[in-house]
Amino acid sequence: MKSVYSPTKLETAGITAVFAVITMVAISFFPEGWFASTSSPMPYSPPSSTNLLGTNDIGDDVLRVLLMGSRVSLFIGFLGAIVSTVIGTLVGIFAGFMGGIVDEVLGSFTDLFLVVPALPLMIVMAAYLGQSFLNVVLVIGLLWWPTTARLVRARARQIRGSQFVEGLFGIGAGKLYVVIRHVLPNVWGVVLARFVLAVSSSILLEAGLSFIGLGDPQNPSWGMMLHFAMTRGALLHGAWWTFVPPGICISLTSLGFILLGMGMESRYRSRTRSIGEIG
Amino acid sequence: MKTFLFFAKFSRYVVLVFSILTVNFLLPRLMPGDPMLFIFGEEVYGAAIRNPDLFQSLSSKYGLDLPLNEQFLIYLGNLFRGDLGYSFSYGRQISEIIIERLPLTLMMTVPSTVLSLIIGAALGLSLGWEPNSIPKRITSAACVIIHSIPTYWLAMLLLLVFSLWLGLTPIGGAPPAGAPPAEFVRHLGLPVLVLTLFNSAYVAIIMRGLTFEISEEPFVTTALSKGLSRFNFSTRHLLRPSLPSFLSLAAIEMGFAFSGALLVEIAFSWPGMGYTMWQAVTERDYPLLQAAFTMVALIVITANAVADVLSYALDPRVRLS
Amino acid sequence: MDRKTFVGIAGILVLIAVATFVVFGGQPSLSPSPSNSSLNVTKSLSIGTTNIVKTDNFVKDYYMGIFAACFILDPLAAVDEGGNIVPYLVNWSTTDSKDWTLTLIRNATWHDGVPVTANDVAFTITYLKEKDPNYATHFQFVVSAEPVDNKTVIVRLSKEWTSFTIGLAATRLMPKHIWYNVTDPATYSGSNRNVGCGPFIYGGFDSASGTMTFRANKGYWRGSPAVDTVTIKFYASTDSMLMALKKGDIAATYAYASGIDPIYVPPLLEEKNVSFMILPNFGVDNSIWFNSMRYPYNLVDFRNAISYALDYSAYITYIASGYAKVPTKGWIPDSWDYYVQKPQLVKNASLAASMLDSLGFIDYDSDGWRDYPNGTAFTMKVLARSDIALSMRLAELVKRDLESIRIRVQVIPADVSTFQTITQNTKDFDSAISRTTFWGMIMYAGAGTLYFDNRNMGWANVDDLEYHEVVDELLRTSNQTRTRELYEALQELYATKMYAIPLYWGKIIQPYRSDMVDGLVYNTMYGILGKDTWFSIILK
Repeated sequence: MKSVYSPTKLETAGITAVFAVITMVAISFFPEGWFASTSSPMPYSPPSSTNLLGTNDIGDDVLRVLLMGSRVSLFIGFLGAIVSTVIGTLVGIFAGFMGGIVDEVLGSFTDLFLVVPALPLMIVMAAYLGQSFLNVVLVIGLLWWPTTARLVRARARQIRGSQFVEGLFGIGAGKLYVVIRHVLPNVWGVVLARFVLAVSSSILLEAGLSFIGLGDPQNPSWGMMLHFAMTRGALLHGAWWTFVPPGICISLTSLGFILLGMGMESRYRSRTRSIGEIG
Repeated sequence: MKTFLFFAKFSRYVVLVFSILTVNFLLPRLMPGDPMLFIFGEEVYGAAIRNPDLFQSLSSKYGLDLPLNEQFLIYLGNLFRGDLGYSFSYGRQISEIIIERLPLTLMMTVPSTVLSLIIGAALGLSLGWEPNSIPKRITSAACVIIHSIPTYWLAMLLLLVFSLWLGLTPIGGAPPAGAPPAEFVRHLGLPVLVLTLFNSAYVAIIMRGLTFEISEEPFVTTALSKGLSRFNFSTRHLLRPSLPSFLSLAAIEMGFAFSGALLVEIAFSWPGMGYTMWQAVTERDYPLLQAAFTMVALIVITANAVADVLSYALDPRVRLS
Repeated sequence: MDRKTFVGIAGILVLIAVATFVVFGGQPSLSPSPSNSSLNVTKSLSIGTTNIVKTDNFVKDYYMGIFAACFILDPLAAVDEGGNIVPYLVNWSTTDSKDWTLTLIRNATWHDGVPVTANDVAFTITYLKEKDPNYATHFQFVVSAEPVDNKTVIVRLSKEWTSFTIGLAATRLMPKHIWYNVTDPATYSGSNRNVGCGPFIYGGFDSASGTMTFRANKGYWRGSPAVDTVTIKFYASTDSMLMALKKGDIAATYAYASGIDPIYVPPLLEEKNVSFMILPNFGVDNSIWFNSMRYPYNLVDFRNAISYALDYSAYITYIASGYAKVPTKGWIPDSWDYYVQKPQLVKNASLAASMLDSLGFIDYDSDGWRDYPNGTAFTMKVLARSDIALSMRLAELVKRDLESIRIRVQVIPADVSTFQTITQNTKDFDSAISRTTFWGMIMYAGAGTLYFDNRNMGWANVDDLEYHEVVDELLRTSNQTRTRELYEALQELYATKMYAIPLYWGKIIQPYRSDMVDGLVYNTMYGILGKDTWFSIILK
């Protein structure tokens, strides 16, 4: 155990990618004139000095749309991750402390939830709930909490069984106190790793859903850029600049979060197989 | 005791299938609004509310006037008889549509799964040995990168290059039923390539991990020091013991490819299950959507259950634990 | 053998995969179409479309209904170039617009050899009225349809109804001897379900790959069509359809009541063998429809203010690729003969802003967005068709224009059936973006009344007494000059009341390969698949 945080190469690469996206979000808050031409030129103009990444089918500056999309993709990514992580952590701590039947049920459900195909489920939800980013948040929340819960549970149980905690109970410490003071700080690492991986999954799922036209039109994301490129003839125009940049952004962002998550996870788990849990 | 454990393990899959069916049953009935709308689709619903007789006959045919628990039994009964209901946007029995579309999805997923298992395993085994050499690190990194590229985006890039610029492949769709196999290969080339790339990367990452773990163990060093060539060692001592995990990986992979193929199908307008589901959503054909989802979910779950059976049957360690 | 072997094996496998792909994938000419070279006798035509048929029952499937009407069935009446209803299989006469005499004027025969008689005509009208909800409007006043002799049918209406002939143009004659005992035509799957008396005989449908074929009916009453077989190929995306056109897999594209999305024209212009028919559009390509029974969209000033906020030239550039013009306030496009010149719509953002200010829509809480006069937050919801990319993009542009005058906008995506349910039944919407078709324009009292009047489909949900009076008189009168005056009155109402804002008047753009086909005739209703095409078409 090193006292000073020294990131591995995986984490460094991941952090770099994540920072790149966060920078994009930051730039998107600058006045538009700084990074994009606000005058609307012809549709599908190729990259030029006025429109660094060209324009799309409605004459929008691709760079501007890309930067705006970074907000949406990241926002949905974080929201989905927060929901699943919070549920997972709460259930995990609860199960770890209670043991017994809760524990049993949780144990048998965790693997199974990972089997449910996420994207098809999301398509079904979109049909009932309409096109809203809440679908993504809901499905990620629903399918991702069990694994987090299982990891947290194991750690919580370990702590619960420790001499120290037994001692604390002995001197009359409340359960809530123990959870907040001693369990939470100890499961923090696992939770954070799971959180980071969930961000990547949410972003990928949202992009997929938007790509097939079931995204939230109020929040145009990178996936939606791909959708309109595909349905408004960017291929026939040969307008690669409308769909290459968003694809790179999606890939880089998800890669960044995966690498970061893998790196963090490997600190807590000897074997890293988290990549099998994506998608 | 052994059989008991076996059943305990697989009862979970039964529970999962049952839960998915239950959710499928309850979703249309518990959503705000008239369940008839979700069960029949907007079009028929619209016609039915204008026609009380039709409404009544449909409602009693599907037992919608019965209590929920009896409805559930009818629903399960219909399912077991293979009656998935009627798709109103197609005007056909859903089972017919699925029988027509499922093979198209399999045409895409089976070759890509087989290819990606072979390529991925070979790559993974090779990468696991001395993984720190520069070319291997680059290859490993490439696998991770390929795995985070959205398949449909890769599909768009390949369409741009191969269909538009080079004019070698069609831009999508399926050939007519009686077309020569070459015609199918031409249409399937790009989708299979996309899925194979993506899935090989996944298999390679996993196999690399397995190989690396074993290669670190002391008996390997001993064996190698006794003059066993790496290739012989790999096939005898590595591939065979890791066969159970590999086979179970293959089964999971098949299910994974199946749901992963949905977006690729849509990108290539390939009329398989994913494309059908997507069409069902855009037309609000709820019965078809649910049936398609059930099928996809069942296949994925079955693949996972098979994976469990395989690792149970082949791996003595699993049986003991 | 060492680790290089593994790399080698992996490499070989990849090579095999790539080679297989290249060998099979790299030979697009592997199966040349035999029809061109070997048999000069069969003249076949392939047409691509994105109007996908799902089941080949023409009562059930909307697009099957269209293709059946083009190929295998004949209508009772047709629509000419000027949009007038003219006799086809039957001619008609009436003295009081209440009792109509229909007379079969052609010697038509069903594809199975049975002659077409007045019995079929009477049967079709009563059967469709009873069984097909789409005909409920067309034949709503029909009391009875009785054959008098082999050639004549008397149709009695419950009231005077001059637009009865529109129903005749919509009606595809069905054979009585096949359908008379079919109780549910939408699920009928007998092998004779596609027997008609039209210029083509049904050849079959392959739903998975998406092809439908028709063979020439040599015994058609107008003579044998100039092509022997027609294959309709269904494409899931416009991209793949136009690629097929570029490659020469299809000779032309087809879309019912429209052409291709104009954004595709520039890349196609580079193809020397692809030509375009540019035709006037009798429908309004896209309008924004206000729910004029909901506050504040019931305020004429509010609607007018919105009309000043919109950048019409942007819609022409980005949505119509220049193949459109800025509409006038009169809504009715200038392609109609009763069109009256009204002032052109213009963008005047400051006027729009000041009009909204004076209506009390001011940003009270300084959040950057206008609020209701009572200070609560205001959001204008715009319903748009999620299954039409163009419609969503147009909504995006409208949203941008309105946001520039500080109106908060929310775009609500809706697929076709949801859109219809909301606009026609529940009426739970603020505004909607949609196009109108030629067919919709002539239905009900004509001049688009179907889309406005809240007593009918009424997207604009108009309940003005003034408007209703004009419509009622239109429905009654059979006097041509009076009808024209009333159409002019409607355009005046459209211009002053602004129930709907036309966003652009587009053209219909019909591409075809000039090296493969010539002599296509554009029909107002069915486009290039109208009946006249089959007797002037030249295959090259």
